[in-house]
Amino acid sequence: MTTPMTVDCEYVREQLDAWAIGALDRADTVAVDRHLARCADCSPLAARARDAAAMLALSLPMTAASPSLRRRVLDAAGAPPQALRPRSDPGGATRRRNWWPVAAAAALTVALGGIAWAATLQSQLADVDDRSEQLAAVATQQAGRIAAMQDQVELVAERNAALEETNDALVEIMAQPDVAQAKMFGTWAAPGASGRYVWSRSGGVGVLVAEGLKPLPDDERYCLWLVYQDGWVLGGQFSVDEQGYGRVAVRDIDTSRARGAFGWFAVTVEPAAGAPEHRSAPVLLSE
Amino acid sequence: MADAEPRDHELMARVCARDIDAFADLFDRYGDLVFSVALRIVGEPATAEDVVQDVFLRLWRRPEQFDLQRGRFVTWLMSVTRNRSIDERRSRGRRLRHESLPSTTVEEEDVFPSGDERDDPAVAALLSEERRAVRRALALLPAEQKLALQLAYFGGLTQQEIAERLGQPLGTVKTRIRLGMQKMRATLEDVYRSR
Repeated sequence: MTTPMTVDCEYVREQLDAWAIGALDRADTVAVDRHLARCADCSPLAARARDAAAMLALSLPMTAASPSLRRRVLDAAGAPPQALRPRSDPGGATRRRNWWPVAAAAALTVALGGIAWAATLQSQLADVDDRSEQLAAVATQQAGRIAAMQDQVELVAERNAALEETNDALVEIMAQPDVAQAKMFGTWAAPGASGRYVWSRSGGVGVLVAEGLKPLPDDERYCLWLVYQDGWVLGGQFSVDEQGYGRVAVRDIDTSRARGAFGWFAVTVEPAAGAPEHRSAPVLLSE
Repeated sequence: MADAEPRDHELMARVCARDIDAFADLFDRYGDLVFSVALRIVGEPATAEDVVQDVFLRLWRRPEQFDLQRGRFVTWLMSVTRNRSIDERRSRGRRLRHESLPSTTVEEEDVFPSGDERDDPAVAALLSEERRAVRRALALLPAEQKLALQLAYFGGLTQQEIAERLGQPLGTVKTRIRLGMQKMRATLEDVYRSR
């Protein structure tokens, strides 16, 4: 199916229902995204279509997730133990307490006939129990912080390497006779973002500079794609800093997946482990 | 039930301020719904749980991705859940039982387990109202329109793929989707008007 590179409101509005339920092919999805990023008239209609699509999800019978999943999710989010209250106890934490030391203390009380001593022992055992729980919570939090710091160190190293690489590439591009550039704008998924892609065909090198993108979790990266009529070619991966600024150098592109005429550049969010093909909607598109 | 919608937004504002209790409340409110959608798409409880975890951790780590100006929280959450589930399904390359022609349609599974809206009375009532409305609307749709919507939304198929699978012209599938979605939009507008 041939998709026009530019589309008007009438064409987009015909596609919105299928777009909202994910029934458009990749090229049409990108075409609609590009239009919605810049058309204030069509955006409210797109929102209505998305609301209607969500109703399909609401029609499903509810299946309860397992209670352990809740613990797993809150744990992974770094919730302290007191936040892991069960769903049936919304008013406050239900503390888990191992009562066998107390029972043991009570039995000892009868055997020795020392009621006051047993009460003291019970109290001490309860204190030990409390402290153990507190220590376990602190240890869990510390382990989480150390892991987070290690991630930060790796991230900074990765950004420094990207900075050096893109600086070298920019110098290389500027020395070429055929410097070209394309302005990029944020789609509905990243309305405040923008960017510029500079490249030299003869030098076989390009650099994307992006800003206004949201920082990603560790397991995701932004991916720059060269979009051909029937194929997306990966240019490179990058992350952005806390200010939303990121750069990536593009070299030695494997264009074996390129099909048809070249259309535009696009940036999507993909798993850091690798993205043989794009799966999410673009956040940046070239004009 | 006009006060139910802002409550989601309030919770998200607190999540942006790193309030883990608000995050837990959102999970309690929507965890089962997200799990149900993921399960429908990926077809396997363990994988659906992975999807739920990814969706909620993304919400916790990047709550600013939800833009209040761009619509309802539940729409955004369902969109993230559906996309993540479809990604999971495609990346694993599994052929699931409902990827082939489904033996049941949406309304044939129209059985709500009792007590499934137990946690937040305000939001439960809101969702319950919309869910009843959409089920009524789906019950009135011709089976072929429901099937087209189902294969696209839960099966992750494009219009072209649906046409090929059903052996129908592409134009016919496009019309079925458009008519089905028109009904969904009208139903949603009725729900809004009735409040």
